[in-house]
Amino acid sequence: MHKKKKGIGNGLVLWIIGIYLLFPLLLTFLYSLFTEWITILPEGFSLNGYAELFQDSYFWQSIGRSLLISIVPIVLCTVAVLLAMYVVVVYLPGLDKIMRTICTIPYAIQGVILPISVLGLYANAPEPFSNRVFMLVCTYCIVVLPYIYQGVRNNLNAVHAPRLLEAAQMLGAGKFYAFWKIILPNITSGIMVCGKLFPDRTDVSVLSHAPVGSACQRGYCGPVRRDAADFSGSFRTAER
Amino acid sequence: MKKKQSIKYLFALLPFLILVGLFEVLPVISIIVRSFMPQGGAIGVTLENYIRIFTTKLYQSAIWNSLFIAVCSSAIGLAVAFFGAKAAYEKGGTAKKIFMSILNMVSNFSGVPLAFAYIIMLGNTGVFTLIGQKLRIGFLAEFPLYSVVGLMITYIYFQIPLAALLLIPAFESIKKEWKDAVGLLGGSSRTFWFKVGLPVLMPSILGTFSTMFANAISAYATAYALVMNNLSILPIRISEQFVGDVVQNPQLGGALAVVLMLLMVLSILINEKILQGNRRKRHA
Repeated sequence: MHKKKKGIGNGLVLWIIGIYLLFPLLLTFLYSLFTEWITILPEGFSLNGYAELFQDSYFWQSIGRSLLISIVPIVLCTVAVLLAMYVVVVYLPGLDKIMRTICTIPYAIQGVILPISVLGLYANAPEPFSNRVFMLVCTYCIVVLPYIYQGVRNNLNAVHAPRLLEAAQMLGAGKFYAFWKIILPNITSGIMVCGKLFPDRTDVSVLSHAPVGSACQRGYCGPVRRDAADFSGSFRTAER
Repeated sequence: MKKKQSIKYLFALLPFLILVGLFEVLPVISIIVRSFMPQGGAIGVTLENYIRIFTTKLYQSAIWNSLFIAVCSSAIGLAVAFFGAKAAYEKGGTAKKIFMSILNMVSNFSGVPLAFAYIIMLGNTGVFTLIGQKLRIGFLAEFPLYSVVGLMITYIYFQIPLAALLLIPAFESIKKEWKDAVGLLGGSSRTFWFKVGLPVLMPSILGTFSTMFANAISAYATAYALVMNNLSILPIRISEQFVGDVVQNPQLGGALAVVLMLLMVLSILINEKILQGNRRKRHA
């Protein structure tokens, strides 16, 4: 009896939190479907907002840019970390500590600090550094660095990389071959999963927003700013 | 031969070093150096930027507002997430899976879209505001969304999924046998949580709190979308110095950024210190 009551209590807590978290999402969606909401219930169901949005070429451009900005950094950063890990694991295990420190620094400079620093340093630098997309991609690489490092590290630990390496070498494989042909395939699936789990959260818009503020003044409309504007713009259009 | 080999493998380090050097180390060093430079770009070493921050009311209030919002939203978010994670852990099964996927989904819902959702819910012509006006519920009708309280409400929203996602795995480390053991020795469920559960979870809770604090104090997009430059908080004041429309002052902005960085490092260090103390106590 007691057990059952407790189960209901827990279920209730989960329900309340779940509804609380989903509510703004659902409401935003609902809001986009109606033309007017000035009394308690919305009026005038219409999909015009979406139709307009999907015909807008800016929208598709911004979606493309957003995809580019969220995929390229993850790939770039994973490749860079893997290459570095190869050296650290195979040749210079002593560097592991330094690498870990470098890869945890982004935690302390998260949010607004890193993009602002990058902007302060490169805003007036020659191309390609002053290119906003380039800046964004590289800055985002640093944002995801701790997560990528942790993912690669965990996977290497999970397959007992040093031992695997020893075993491969005993059987006559070179160090290079052992790492790229034996260890890498073993950890690929793990890295893929970790790549999908990325918290592509506020960070993206923090990054884009800060650099773009001044970019717009120069007549160049940055990537995700457009996207962010579209995001709310889409619903605003629907509102009309 | 040996030497040639050593040079060859070092090339593999290059991409990582270039990336980290140009976009992590160099920017941070430059901003720290800049914060000690006099305003206007002249060369020299000075503390005037820091003195200005700690003597001007505007920046003082920015620091206090940021700290207040970050601490409160983290504490409230953590409390809610704790009970959520506890319920998910005790319930288990499908309910937990569904709850986890909701958390995963909404943890991506922050920044501009989140601010927008709150504007249509509680803004000047928001749905709840209208309902409040119709039904004469003063609290809803005049909800102060564009203020510290409003900002806190939106922050709490994105803090809850973050904290819950970090806490649920920690709850997994509590073994069912411990509960049975406490029960066998005559302890109640409350004794179990206060004497066993919470102490075991403490490191995770503190770690989660420091992650949440850093997340909240440096959040920019949500705040900017909601209050623009009208509310004084640190991230907004910092970006203003670099991309502002009125006056730009990168040196002062650098100093503000260093203050923010120090606050985040401080939260991490305090967390470490407490954990170390705990560990020592346990070993003693």
